[in-house]
Amino acid sequence: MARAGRTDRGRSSAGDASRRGLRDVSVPVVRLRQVRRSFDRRTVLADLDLDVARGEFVALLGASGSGKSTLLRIVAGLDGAAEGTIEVPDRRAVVYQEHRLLPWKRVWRNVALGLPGLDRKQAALASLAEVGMLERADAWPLTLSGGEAQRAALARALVRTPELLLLDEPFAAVDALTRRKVQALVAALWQEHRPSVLLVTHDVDEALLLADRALVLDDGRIACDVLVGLPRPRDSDSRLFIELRQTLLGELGVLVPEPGASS
Amino acid sequence: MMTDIDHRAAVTPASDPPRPSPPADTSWVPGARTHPEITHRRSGKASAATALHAVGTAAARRGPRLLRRCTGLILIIALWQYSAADHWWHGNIPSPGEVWAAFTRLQETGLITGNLSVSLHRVARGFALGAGAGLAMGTAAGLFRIGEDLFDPPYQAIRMVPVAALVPLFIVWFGIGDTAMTALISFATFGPLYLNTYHGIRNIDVRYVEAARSFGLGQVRVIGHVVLPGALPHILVGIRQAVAVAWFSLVIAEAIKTDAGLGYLLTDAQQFLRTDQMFVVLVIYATLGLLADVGLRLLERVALAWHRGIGVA
Repeated sequence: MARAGRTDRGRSSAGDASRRGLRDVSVPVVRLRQVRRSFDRRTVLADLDLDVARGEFVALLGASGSGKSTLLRIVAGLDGAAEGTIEVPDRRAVVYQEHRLLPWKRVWRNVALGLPGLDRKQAALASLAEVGMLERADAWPLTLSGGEAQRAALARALVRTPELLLLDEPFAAVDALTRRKVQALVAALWQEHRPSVLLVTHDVDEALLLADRALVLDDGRIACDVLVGLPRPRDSDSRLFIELRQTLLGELGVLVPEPGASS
Repeated sequence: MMTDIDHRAAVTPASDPPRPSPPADTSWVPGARTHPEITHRRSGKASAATALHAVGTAAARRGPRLLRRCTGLILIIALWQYSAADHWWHGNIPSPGEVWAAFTRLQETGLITGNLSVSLHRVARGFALGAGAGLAMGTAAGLFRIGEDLFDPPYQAIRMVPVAALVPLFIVWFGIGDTAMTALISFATFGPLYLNTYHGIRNIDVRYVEAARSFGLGQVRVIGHVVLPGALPHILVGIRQAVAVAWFSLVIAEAIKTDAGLGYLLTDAQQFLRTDQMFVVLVIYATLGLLADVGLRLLERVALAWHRGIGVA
């Protein structure tokens, strides 16, 4: 997608952006209008509209089968059969639920996969260092733990300096403790590099810990769009957090007791 | 509720543990070692892992293991030697020593080297043609629908024809000579390479292809970086199978009529009832087959190093 007059966020909007979490709402990086997708006459997405601003972290929640992975695949350009207006940046990278590192390439070669130029190894190593995986650069992917593999997958996405980072339930396959660490890493990397992020997840807490905005997808539409105006780093025990969690869980159709009603 | 439990715990004798909770309660806590059953399970897992590790790397145990692996072979040679001396078998069994003598005699006259080289050339030619075509057409059938439609039905139609059944036809077509033998070996080696390459490519996880595409790799680079390396384990299996059938069809081909090669040595020895020379040829067949297999295993070790990564910490 060609876009004229891209704002240089380092200069033009620095003061404003720092107050508002570096979000620049005026320039949508992702712009979807009337997006439809059906599989065998079963409509998964129905006339869906979505904007993601430059540097914005958007979490996409939804039950299984709500079409959130389909939406991510459309934004990633992996689904050619979708109809509607789809504007996404060329520089985008995906981190999948399963790391999808090629088992026959060493970790750094996986990170460097498809990179142009002669200094691709240097770029790959720098990116691996950022996720704390430098010492595993020469390892075979099959020898990595789940958390290590996801960090390598993150490095592989980051090395492309994406304008748009797509995360497809990247923490679902790792254990609870590792998940915390990788979530913190994603938060730190996002604050460092400021790509726009679309995170697909079914975990409300994860969405509230990381995102500027949480969307709930239901029946092929965005049923709920919530701004998460909490200061970072976020405290999952704060009153606002709990209230937002209740709201989102309600939207997802999960019945929960009112906070304070128990004990 | 809590106070009630505390109260009872205080009343019961000290020998009775206050928390006879089910083991599942603590098992989710990483590093929990409170329950003996859990620690037991852990140590069991650890020893299994060490055992796995030992298979791969224990150099210290290699000596005795090698000895054990040689035992069967030594026993067979001993039995062979005994049978040759005792003459319990109505046929003529040359002793290992006699076979060795026959070998050195044949070697001195240059018969071994010359005929061996002729046979190896035949195998190499047939293998290169057949396996090469199998690899190319298997790749085409695996990658492209049109390749599959073109190559697969004819292959399925002829794959059940035994190699030996083609001998008369090939003799009529190509005459008795190297061409017929090369054709026979090519035909035999085509199948394993074609089939394994085709299935290797078809079995690649499409999610790898999708990931590579999403990282900006075009069609050609997807094939080079994802499809062919992913199919390599299957292709190597195909090569090993092809080497085995190449060897097999060489024997069939050379049994027809030939004036050079290992098969010639064999039929020649048969005509003069020289069982010692026949044994020489059989031992050469076995040795070469073994050497080929060892070489291919080494190739696999190098080419599939990533695969061996499983289980090695």
